[in-house]
Amino acid sequence: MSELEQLLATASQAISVCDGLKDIEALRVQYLGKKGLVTEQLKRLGQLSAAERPAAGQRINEVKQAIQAQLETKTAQLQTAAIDAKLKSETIDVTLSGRTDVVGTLHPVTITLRRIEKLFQRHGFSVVDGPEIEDDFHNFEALNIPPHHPARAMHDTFYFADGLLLRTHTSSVQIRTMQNEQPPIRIIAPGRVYRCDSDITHSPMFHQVEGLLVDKNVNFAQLKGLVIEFLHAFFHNDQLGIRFRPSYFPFTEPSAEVDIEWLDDDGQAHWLEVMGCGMVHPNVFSQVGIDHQHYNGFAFGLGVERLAMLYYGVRDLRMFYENDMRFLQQFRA
Amino acid sequence: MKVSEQWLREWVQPAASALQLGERLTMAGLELDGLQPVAPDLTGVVVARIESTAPHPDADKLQICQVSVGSDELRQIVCGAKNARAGLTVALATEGTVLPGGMTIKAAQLRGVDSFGMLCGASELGMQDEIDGLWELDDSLPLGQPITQALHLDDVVLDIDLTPNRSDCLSVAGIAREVSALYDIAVTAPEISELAPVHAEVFPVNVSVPQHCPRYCGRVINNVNAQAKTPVWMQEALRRSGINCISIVVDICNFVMLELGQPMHAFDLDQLNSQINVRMAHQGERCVLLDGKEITLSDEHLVIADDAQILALAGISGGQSSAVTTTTQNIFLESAYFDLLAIAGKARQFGLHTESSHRFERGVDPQLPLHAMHRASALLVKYAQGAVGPVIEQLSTAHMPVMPSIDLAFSSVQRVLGIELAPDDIATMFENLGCAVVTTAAGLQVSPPSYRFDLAIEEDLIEEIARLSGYDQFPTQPLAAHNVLAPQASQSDALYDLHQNLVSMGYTEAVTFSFMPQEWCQLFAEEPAKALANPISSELSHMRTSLWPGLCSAAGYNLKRQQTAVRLYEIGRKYRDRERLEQTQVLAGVVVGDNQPRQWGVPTQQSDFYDVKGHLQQLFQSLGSAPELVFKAAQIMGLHPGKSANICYRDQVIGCLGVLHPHTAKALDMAEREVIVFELAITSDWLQKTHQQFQLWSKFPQVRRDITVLVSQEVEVQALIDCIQMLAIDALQDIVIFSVYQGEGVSEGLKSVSLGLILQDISSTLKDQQVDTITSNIITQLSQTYNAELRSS
Repeated sequence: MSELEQLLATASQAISVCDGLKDIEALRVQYLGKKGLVTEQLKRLGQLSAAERPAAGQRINEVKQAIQAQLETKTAQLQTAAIDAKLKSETIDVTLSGRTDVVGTLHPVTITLRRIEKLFQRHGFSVVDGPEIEDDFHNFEALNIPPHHPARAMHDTFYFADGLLLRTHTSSVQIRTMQNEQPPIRIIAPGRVYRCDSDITHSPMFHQVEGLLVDKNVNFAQLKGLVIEFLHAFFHNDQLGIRFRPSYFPFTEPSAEVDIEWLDDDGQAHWLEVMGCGMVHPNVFSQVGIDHQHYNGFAFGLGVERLAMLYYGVRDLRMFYENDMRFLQQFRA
Repeated sequence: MKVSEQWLREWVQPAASALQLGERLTMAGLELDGLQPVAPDLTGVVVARIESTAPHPDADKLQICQVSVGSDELRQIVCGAKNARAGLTVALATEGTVLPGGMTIKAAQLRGVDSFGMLCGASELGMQDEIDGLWELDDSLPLGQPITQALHLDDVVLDIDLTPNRSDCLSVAGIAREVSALYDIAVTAPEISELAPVHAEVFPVNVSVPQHCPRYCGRVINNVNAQAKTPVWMQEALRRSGINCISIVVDICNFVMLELGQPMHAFDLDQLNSQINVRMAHQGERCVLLDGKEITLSDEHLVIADDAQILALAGISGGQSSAVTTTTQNIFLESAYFDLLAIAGKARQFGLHTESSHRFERGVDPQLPLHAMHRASALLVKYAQGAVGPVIEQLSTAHMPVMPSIDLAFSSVQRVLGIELAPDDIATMFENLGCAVVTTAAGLQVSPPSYRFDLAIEEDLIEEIARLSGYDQFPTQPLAAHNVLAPQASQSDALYDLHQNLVSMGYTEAVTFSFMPQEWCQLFAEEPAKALANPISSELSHMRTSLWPGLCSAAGYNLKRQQTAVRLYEIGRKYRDRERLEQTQVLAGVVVGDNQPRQWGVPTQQSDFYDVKGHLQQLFQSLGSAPELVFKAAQIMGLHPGKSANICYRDQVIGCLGVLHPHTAKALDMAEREVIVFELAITSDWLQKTHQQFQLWSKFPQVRRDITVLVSQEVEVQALIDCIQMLAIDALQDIVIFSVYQGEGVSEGLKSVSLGLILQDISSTLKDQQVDTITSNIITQLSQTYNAELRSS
């Protein structure tokens, strides 16, 4: 074997056993550097005869390219191995929990109120607010509930020494709105209401949404249509059984209570009362100075906790006010 | 109103089961609240008579009874009841009977004597038990007949929840009228005849306030047997209607009230002085009522008095002095029409609610008193052997209610209800309700009967039409669209954005009561809280002056239940009773515990002032109002004097933030905890989204120059920033505080503050020289104003 062939064999051997990028660089210098072994061979070409020179030169170049190629291949291999080793050493346990922050939630009453608001907003109702400490006029008198009316006894009102009271229903906002605005009126009034009554099914404070529509040519059939549409949307069920039952509220006539068909734990269907509604009573219109000959209207009221309990399957009303985070954090808007 | 099916069917016979009837009534506005059987299953219990008794040889308290059930053979029953005696008609539970309590009756020996069954008390049969011992039955009942059949116990009670406008249905007669209208069938009322007086004795009646008592009927009934036994059928009728039996005279009055709807009262005539006066009470006059309660009256109370004293609170309750007792011999029977407004609300003033007041304050038929008087008289003569005198009636026609004639236009029916009904059907409905109906050009003229107080205007008639047609028969109509786009987002939408922002920062929404104990109200407010006149309890007695106590209490509740990181907020009203009552809506929050959830690789830190301040800054940043928010140290009642601040927005204080004072924390059961609270007034100023404008940024590079100065520890960092801002340097984009230090290397009383000055020019790259000039100006300004000294690093 010639010296050149020997050189190639030695170089190939050295490259193949090399296991570090620094060593590769050293080999490159050793063979291909300015004073490298292959470079030396090229320098010695001049000592050959002109006839021998082309063939010998070509061979040296072939050897040089071969070594070059082997060095490059090896370098690439070693680089990949180095990255692989680095990645391997960096491997983490992806099943460990990510860094989290405290998670907050809305109260189910707020979520329910918001859902109700959004549904009625689509029908052009705007959301209005009213005071919780009310006077007798707005809570009773203007709603056709004069002093000593038996309906007052059913309201279990909280009073203050100065004669003011805590509103027993959001219907008081109807009056405030009609005193300040001219028809057409489409409002809903959500908010806190108070009754001095406390047990498993009654809380001294709870939430209602009152709705009022005053316009020309408003009738009971439209009220019925709106209420059915709302309940179907609220419970995501257009097959929900709904019935309208005659009832009595001093501020509406005709009045209705609205029941929905609901299955109890045993799978038995029951009618559950969820809303009250009716056509605005002419006496209410005259209290607020709206001409009953030109306008009529309807009003409705619903208990927010009641709807939330049915929707979420909460059985105990008191949970809404205990503020236990295990309860509060279950509900998502 | 409780009405037994059997009693109702004596008046009216609809082809419907009790349940179907109840559902029909419900859908007509008379809501069926419940349907209860009047007695449990009493198979095996029969009518029996004790023929003879003999003492038990070995037991003093037992008797050996020979009992007949109609056949020749007598049964031997050992009985321990005191009232067991020969000749008594009783209920016998025969062998094999399972009593309502679950006991099975078997032949047995009692102290060595055979006994074949059990004689029963009323309570053992699931009936009310007024007397100890055996239930004494009418002698007329056939022996051996099952008790259920003999006493007509296969009956149910319809419990009807009547709305306040339907006082006309507070009687069997009233419900029967309603059923008759609903089913279009006839009512058969019991025959009531007028008894001829058998003596001439009258007791004078003087009505001085006919406007409150337009009609007063009275009659003397002599020689009443007040000890007579109330017949079992009447006892049962009362029991099934939920009324206790008292004595024959009172029971008859109650029976007539249940049957016809007229409350009545019987006075012991021998206790009355001179005459009956129907008048207003004198101021301060007193009266002891039937229940023994003494009340003090005023001139707004209508009373029945004699010449000596008040006998009764008219239409509400009788008085003790003239009450009928077992020794009463002669009675004066009252049947009157009192005006609704004279009675309404009066019973409640004395904490009373009687069957009589319940009816009178809703309205009793003014045409009923005489009729009811005849009915009660006949029953008293029959069952208590009384001798009736002539009826005297004081009637003031001028004060009697006038029933209106109401015009009903058919077009109104269509307008309100959205349906068209046949005129003939409408007319029939009102005729069935007992109204007089006349056809007019536009519709009908309807005159309601005297008992329908609730029918006064056209809408009342439309409601009757809707009710009788059935609401479920109505069509539905879509609502015409009416959508208006408001130029501003509503307050409710803005509030919802606020909710969402708080939730995204880890806050959980709480809802706490608007009332709280008085002590809590005084923790954060000087002025007294508004007190409820009739609170449920002392824990819920005053309107809250702050949302913090409720939120802190909720936070404490959760800490006690292993919650480690508590961030709660609430949006609601607080109340201050100043010159004007203020009901301000606020956002309030409480933060206590860890500032992050417990997790691997993150050291646990307790939340502090700066965590919460950061939340608020972040909140305002997302609302787009951050640059205008300033926190100023402040003394706030109930908070730590060195860790509290007012929150100012455009120079207005809109809220505050701070750590609870240790005293306050202790009062709220949160001692030893750093509790951070905040409050922001909900005002449209900062809540309403403003119209935003795009701002172009500079294309030239930013330069940051850090300086560290030593200032007195009293100097607030905000003051340094404000001081620099005074220079109004255009190129100064921002000032970043990156270190505040006190301790080794810094002299006592001083602090070291490191500020990063972010500089950038809009039109060119800043040159070093410009930056140096700006920096040195700033240092000069700080040193001149706050004696700041540049700290060499």
